[in-house]
Amino acid sequence: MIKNNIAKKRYIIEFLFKNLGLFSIVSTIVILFILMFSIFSKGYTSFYTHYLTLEVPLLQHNDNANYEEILYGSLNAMLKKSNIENIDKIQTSDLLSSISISELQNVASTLKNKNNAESHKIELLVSSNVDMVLKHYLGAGYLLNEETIQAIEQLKKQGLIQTRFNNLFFKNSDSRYPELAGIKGAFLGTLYTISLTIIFSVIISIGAGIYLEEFAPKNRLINIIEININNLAAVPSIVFGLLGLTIFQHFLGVPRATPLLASFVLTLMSLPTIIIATRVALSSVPNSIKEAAYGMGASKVQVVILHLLPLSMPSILTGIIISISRVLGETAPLLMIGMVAFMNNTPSSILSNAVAFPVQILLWSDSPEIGFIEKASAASMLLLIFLLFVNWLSIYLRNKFEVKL
Amino acid sequence: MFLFFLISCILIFISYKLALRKFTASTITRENRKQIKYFASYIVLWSCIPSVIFFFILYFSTNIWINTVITNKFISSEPLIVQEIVQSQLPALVKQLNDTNSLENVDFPSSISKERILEMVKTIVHYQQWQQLLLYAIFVILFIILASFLLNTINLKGNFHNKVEKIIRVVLFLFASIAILTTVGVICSLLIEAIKFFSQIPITQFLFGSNWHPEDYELDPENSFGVIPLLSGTLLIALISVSTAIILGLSAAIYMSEYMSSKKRKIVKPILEILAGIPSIVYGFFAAITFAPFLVNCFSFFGIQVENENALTAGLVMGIMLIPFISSLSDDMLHAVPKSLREGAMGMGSMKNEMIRKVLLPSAFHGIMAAVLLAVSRAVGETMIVVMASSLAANLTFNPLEPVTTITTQIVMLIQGDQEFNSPKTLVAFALGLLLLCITLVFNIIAVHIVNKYKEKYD
Amino acid sequence: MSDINDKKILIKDVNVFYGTKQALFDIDLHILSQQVTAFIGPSGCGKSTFLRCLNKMNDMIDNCVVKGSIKIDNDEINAKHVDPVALRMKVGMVFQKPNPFPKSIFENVAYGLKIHGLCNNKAEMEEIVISSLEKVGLFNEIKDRLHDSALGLSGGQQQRLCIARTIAIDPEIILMDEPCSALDPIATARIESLIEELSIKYTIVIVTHSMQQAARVSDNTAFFHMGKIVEFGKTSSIFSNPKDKRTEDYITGRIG
Repeated sequence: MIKNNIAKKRYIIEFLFKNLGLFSIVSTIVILFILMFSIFSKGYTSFYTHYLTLEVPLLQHNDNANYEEILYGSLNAMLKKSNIENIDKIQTSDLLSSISISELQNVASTLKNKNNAESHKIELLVSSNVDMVLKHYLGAGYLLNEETIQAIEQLKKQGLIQTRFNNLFFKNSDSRYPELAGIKGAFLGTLYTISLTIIFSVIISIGAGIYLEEFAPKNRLINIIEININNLAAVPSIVFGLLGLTIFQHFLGVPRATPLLASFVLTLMSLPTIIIATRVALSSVPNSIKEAAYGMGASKVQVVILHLLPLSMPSILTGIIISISRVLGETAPLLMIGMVAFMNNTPSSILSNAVAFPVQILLWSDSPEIGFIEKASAASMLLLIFLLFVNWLSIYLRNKFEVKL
Repeated sequence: MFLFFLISCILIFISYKLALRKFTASTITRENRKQIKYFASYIVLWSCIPSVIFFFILYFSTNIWINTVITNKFISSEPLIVQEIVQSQLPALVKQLNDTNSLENVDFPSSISKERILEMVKTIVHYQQWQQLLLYAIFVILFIILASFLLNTINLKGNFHNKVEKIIRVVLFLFASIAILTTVGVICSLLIEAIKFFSQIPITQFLFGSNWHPEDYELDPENSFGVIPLLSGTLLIALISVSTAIILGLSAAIYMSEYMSSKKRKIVKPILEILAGIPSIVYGFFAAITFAPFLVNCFSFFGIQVENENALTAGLVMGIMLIPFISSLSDDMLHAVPKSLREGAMGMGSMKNEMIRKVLLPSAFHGIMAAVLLAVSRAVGETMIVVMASSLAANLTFNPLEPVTTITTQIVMLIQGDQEFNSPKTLVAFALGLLLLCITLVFNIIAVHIVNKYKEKYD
Repeated sequence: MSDINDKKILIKDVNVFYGTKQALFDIDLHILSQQVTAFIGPSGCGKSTFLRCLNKMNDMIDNCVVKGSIKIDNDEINAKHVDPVALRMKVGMVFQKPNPFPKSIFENVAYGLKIHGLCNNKAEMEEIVISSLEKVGLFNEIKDRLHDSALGLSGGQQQRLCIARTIAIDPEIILMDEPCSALDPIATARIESLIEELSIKYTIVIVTHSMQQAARVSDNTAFFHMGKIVEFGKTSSIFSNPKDKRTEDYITGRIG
C-alpha cells in the first residue's frame, strides 16, 4: 500500500513535470502569436485610407481665389445635401487632411484652360482622426465630438467616403500629419545604410576570417585577436553607438546622422558574427581537397579562392544574412549618432541626413496621435515580415546549396 | 568620387596591359609563364596602393586646410550667429549651390545678409573645385611615374606570384586587425570621455551616490550623478527578464530535448527561434503599446493602481526575447551529456523527471549557468525595450510595479538631447557606457570560462 | 638525355620531427630516374612522412620540421627559399584516398594547367586534358560525360582521374601514397598496369603496405621500420634474399 502511494506520487510528479515543459512551449508559441497578431492587427489598416468625395463649384484658376472658403463652403453644402443634423456642431476643419487646400489649388491649376469646368467632383484625403474613426481603431475619435462621428458614419453609408489603397504610405516620407506620413524616407535611409554595411562587412570579415583560419601564424597577437572577436560579439549595441559618436563622428569627422556613419557603426557590430561564421565554414571543408590542391602545386591564395571559398560560400552566406538581419533591426546605436531627428525629405545620398526604418518606428510610437501608432505598427509589421522572410531565406539557402562532401 | 574610381580603373587597366607586354615570346619559358599575370598585378598593386593612399591623405589634409582658410578669411569676422549657421550647415549649403546654383530655397534668419553667405559658399565651392582638379592630377601623375619606373626597373626573373601573395596576406591581416582596433576604439572612446567626467565628479560619488538628477546637476554637481538607482533598476529588470526566460526557456528546452520526437522538435525549435530574430524595437513597441496597458488593466482588476511604465512590463517582455537564447543554449548543453549517464539512471528504474532532475540538470548545470550569465549580460545591455517601456525616473526600489530606469535608458536620454560636449551631463553617458561594458564583459568572460571548463569535462 | 641509372633524387641525413617527437632517423637514399621505387613497411613506420618530404607537403603541418638534404636533379629542395609551388609542379602527388575536386572531370584535369598558367588557349588545354585522360585509359570510359561532376565516378576511375590530373602538368616525378588502398582488386590491377606504363616516362615513388604490390610494380624497394631505412635495393633481391632479419620477418609476415 505504501509502495503504491509512492508510485502514485511519482507518476503525478512525472505528469506535472512533463506538462510544465509542454506548457512552457505552448505558452511561448502563444506569446509569439499574440505579439505578431497585436502588431499585424494594428498595422494592416495603414495600407488603406479614406477619401471624401466633394463637389466643388466653379473651380477656375484664379490667383486671388480663396480656396479655403471654397473648400469649407462646398463641405458645408455637401453636409447639408446629405441631410446631416447639427451641422453647426460638426468640426468641419477636422474632417479633411491638411493638404486639401493645396490639393484643391492643384486641381484648379490643371483645369486652367478648360472652360467647361463648372462643378467638379474631387476626392480629398480625410484627416487621420476621421480615418481612424472609420477604421474603428482602438481609442480613435477622442478629438472629435459625437455629432462629427455620427456624420462621418452617415457619409460612409451614403457612399461619399471611399476606401482606397494608401499609396501615400509608400510614396511619402515622415510628416507632421499622420495621414500623410510614409515610410519612403526611412526605407531609403535603411537601404543606403545596409547596402554600405553589407559591402564593408562582407569584405572585411571574410578577409579577416580567411586570414585567421588559413594564414595566421600561431602566436600571441593572433590569439589576442581571436579572444577579442569573441568578446566583441558580447558588447552591448549602445556602446558601439558611443564609439561611433566619439571616434567616427568627432575624431574622424564623418558627418552626423548620415547612412555612411551608421554603416560604419553597424559594420563593426556585424563583424564578429560573420568572422566566426566564415571560420567555421572554412574549417568544415575537408582536408583532402586542400591536400589535393596543394599537391598539384596550388598556392595558399589559390586554394582559398578556388576551393575553400566556393565550397564554404553557402554557410558564409547564411552567416552574413543572419548578421545583417540582426543589425537591420538595430536601433540603439543609431540614436547615439543622431539618426533620430524628424526628417520629412528623402535622403538623396549616403552623406545626407537620414532616419532608419527601426528609428522611424521609435519616432512614430513616441507620438501622441493615434494615427502615428497605426503607422508604427505598420512599419513594425513590414520589418517583421521582411526579417521572417530573410530568416526563411537563410535556412532555405543552407539546405539548398549545402555541398555534400 | 565616381570620377576618381573611373580614373583609377582606367590607369590600372592600361598599366596591367603594358606590364603583360613586357614578356615577349623569347622571354617566356615553361617555368615563368604563370608569372606574367602576377608580374602585371604586382606592378599595378605597387603603383596603385601608394598613389591611392597619397590621394586620400592629401584629400583630407587639404579639406582641413580649406576649412581653416574659410574660417580665417570670412567667418571669424562675422557675428556669432552667422558663424554657427555657416559651420553647421556648410555641407548642405555647398550641395545646394552645386545643385541649383543659388541659395534661394534655404531659410536663414532674416537678420543675416544672404549675399554674404552666398559669397562665402561660392568661395568654398571654388576652392573645392580647384582642390579636386589638383588632386586628380597629382594622383594620375604619381601613378604613371610609379608604374613606368617599376616597369623599367624590375627584373622579370623574380617570383612575382609569391610577392603578390604576400601583399594579399598583409591586406588580409589588416582586415583581421580591424577587430582589435575596434576593441581599442571602444575602450579608448569610453575611457577618455569617462576620465574627463571623473576629473569633474569624483568616481566615488559616481559609483556610490544614490541620487541621479543629471538634469539639474548645476545646483549640486557632486550629488547628481549617483549610479546606484540606475544599477538597481537595471538589475531589477534583468532579474525579472532572466527569471522569466529561465522558467519558460529551460523547461521548454528540457521538454524539447527529452520528451519530444525529433520530428516535432524540428518544427518547434525554428518557431521558438523566430523570437530571437525579432528586433528589440518591435519588442519595445509591443511592450509600450500592447503589453503595458494590458498589465495595467490586469492589476486594476485586482484593485492595484500601477503606472504604465513599470519594471515588470519591461522585464517580462525582455524575458520573452531571451527565451530562445536560454532554450537553445541549454538544449545544446543537455545534448552534450553522454547517453550512458541517461541510460544508467533509467536502468536504475528512475522516472524521466527524476533522471532529468537528478542526473541531467546537475551534469549540464555549468552549461546552463553559462547560458544564464550570457542572458544576464544581454539583458543588462538591452536598450530599446527599456527605452520604450521603462521610465526616466531614477527610483531606488526593488518593487517591480514601480517605475525604474536603467543605464541604457539614461545613456540614450543623455546623448540624444542637445549636447554640450564637455558638460558632465554628456560626459556621464560615457562613464555609464564604461560601466555597462565592464558589467557585460565580466558576465561574458565568466560564462565563456564556464563553458570551456565544461567542454573539457566530457571531451 | 638522362642515363637509365641516373640518380633523380638524392637524400642525405634526413631527420623529421613532429614537435619533439622524431619520426624519421637519418634517412639516406637515392631514387633512380624513370624507375618505380616502392617504400614498404608496417604502418606508422614513417614511409608516408618521408614521401611527403619529397614535395614539401610536410610544410603544411604546423609543428613538422624536416632536417637534412634532399636534392632533385642536384637542386637542394629542403631549404627555406625553395618555392613549394614551383616544386610541386615538378613533383606530382597522388593520395591514398581518391580526392578529385568537386568540379567537373574536365576541370579537374585542367586545374593544374590553369593554376600554373601552362596553356595559351582553350584548344591547347583541351588537347592536353584529353591526352592525359587517354594516358590513364579513362578517356574512352567517360568521353561523353567530361563535364559531369567527378564525384560521380567510381573509386578506381576517380583515382585514375587524380593521376591524369597530376600528369597533365607534365611533372618529372610522381609520388603515390598508397594509391590502391581504397580500391577493389580489379581497380587495383588497372592502376598497377598504369604505373608500369607511366614509369617509361616518369620517375615514380610509391608507398604501399602490400608487399605483393611492391613486388609486382617496383624496380627498387626500400624497407622502412620505426623511422629508419632497414634495407634498400633492387626489388628482386630484397624479396628473394633479404639481408636484414627484420625485412625477412616483415616479408614473411611475422611483423607488421
